[in-house]
Amino acid sequence: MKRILLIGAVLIIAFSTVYAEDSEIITDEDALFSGEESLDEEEDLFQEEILVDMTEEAQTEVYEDALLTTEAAVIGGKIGISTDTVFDASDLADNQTFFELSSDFYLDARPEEDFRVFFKGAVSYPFTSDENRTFSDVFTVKELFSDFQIGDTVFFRAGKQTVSWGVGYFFSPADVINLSRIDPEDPEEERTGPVSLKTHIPFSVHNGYLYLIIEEFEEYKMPALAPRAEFLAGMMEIGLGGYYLYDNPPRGMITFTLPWKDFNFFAEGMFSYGSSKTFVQESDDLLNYPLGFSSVEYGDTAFFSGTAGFLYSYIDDDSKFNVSLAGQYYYNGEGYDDPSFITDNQEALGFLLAGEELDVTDFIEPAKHYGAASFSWSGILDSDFSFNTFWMGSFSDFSGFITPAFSYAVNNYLSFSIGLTQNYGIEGTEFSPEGAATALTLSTKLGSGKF
Amino acid sequence: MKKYLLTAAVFFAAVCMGFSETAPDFTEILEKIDFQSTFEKYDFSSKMTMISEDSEEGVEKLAVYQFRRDREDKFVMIIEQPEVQKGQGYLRYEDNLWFYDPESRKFSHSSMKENFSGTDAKNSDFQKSSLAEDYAVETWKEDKLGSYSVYVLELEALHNEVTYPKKKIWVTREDSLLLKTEDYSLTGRLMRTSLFPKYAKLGDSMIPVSMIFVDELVEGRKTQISLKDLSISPLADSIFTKAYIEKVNK
Repeated sequence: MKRILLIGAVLIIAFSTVYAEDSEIITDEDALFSGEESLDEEEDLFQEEILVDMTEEAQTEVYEDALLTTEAAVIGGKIGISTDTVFDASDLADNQTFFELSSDFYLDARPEEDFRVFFKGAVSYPFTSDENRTFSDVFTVKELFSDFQIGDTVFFRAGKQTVSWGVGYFFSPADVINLSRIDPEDPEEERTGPVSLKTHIPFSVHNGYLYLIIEEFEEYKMPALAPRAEFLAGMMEIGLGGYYLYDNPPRGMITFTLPWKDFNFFAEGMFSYGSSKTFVQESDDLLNYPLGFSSVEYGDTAFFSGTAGFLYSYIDDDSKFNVSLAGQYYYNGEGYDDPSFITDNQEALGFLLAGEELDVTDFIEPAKHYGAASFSWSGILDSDFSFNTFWMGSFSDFSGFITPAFSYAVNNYLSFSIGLTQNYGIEGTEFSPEGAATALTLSTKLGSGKF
Repeated sequence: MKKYLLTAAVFFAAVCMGFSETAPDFTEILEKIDFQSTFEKYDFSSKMTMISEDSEEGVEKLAVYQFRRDREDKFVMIIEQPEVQKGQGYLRYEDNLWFYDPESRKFSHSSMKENFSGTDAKNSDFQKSSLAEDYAVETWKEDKLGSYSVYVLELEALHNEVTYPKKKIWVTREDSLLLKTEDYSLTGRLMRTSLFPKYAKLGDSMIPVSMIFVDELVEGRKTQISLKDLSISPLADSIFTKAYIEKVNK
């Protein structure tokens, strides 16, 4: 009985403490500016003197290094749990359900002000590997690097790291460094970077970077070199960069960002002398290429790719219209004017793939002209409902898809959404290889969040 | 009759005294507010705790480190709490504001007019005060706020680069401390009330170490900001760089 009473007392005290910490913000002006000691719990706010001279102690205290060291390594991460059921809108019995359980976790150790070690890994369900699922599908090292510096002028980051290179939102042709491309449907998703040594020299608000990138360790090879400089001119930030790897096409890039009112405009261009991609061309050599297509490489041809777009966000004072809009056009200089030959001649291309003259990566972004846009309205009219839609299309073959979706958030850890995916374009086009189709998706996110 | 004459004389004297009261130099008062709240001689750093209350969302707490170099129009802010925002940072240089997202490891521009990290405080609340440059005094009166004698000034913006086109401010008569502001839209709608009940004197500057922002449009929504670990010791130049924000992120 005593034990129960003791536990009860501890619980009451604990609850009272927690409750007391949920401080109410006092806005009573007479109390705030009474010039008297307050009888309230927030007595710190209401000292006799509204003005306290703290010059002496503020001249001696330094807190700038408070963020640079920790007594112990910090561990954190995020967990994602979701289910998605995709229905063929023309036949609801035709459906598939996907279950995702995954977690990112990081360790951040800062033993010294000028030395820090960071690790980030990811694990996803099912936690076994087989012939369809490699170990790297189950467990991945996303980042593993250390930060160190020379004085306060040269900053290094060595190891596997995500690299911030281009400025494009949905597409970034200049970014030839990160190992994964931007997913236009999830453009803010973290990307996988290479093993590299980053040297960063800030000069005022301008920045100089040099990356030494290790491509592979199987044999000694000079690392790729990627210098970049950022200059601020008024409100415009201009980036100039290059990429050089022996026996590969050299590349140069230029980027621009310009904020204006609630808009952020961006543009980037990428020039290369030669392409690392293998192209397909029609061939008269029917002896070697009986299906009429052969592969070709352009090592001494100049290519240009470019993109431009904007981000816009607006929130009214009532929080009823929290909207954001993004749009981007992408000119892919290494694309085909008419990419429909890919779906029209699958047998011929299969022949080249089987002969290892081509790789499937040579067919990524096959068209010359793309566009993407998104619109989101979070907390519609200050409710728990949100709307978002994403569109992506090819202006080369006029195919694409649009995905409007409504979601309802019960709280931060439980939400439901319903969305449509409408593909358009004639059969055989890039985004509608089997013709126009409609799919319905029901999704649930539960227990997802950061820790 | 004598009584009437006496009353008339007293009334006349009172009226004359009222007319003879000269209006203070309000430009000087606004300049003094700006001067006092600006650190021209020193760097400034502190740890801010922001507690936001919302009748629907509940209580949220943010801990933010801020570093200011007003003489070069620079500041850096690093979010330490909550965990979901840890490592996010802001770098301001003149009219440029970069937001750093540790997930994508990218910097992006954002507007100074935006609310700071979902609170009722605006990004512009953390830049140096420029009331004298941005506003003109339209009307004034003397009043009391609690036990403090104050001037109540109604201000109108001189250009459209400000967050609020109209303001009403309560300033102590003795030392020009800003105790309260009301921020209005162009149509005269009250948008936000701010209270500054406690100040710290640091050299020539006076900075509010307790600030309360009340959202007048969403009932029950308010944010209290408290400053601690105040320092005016010189800061390294490297703090006001992207390199520093990348270094301290998670």
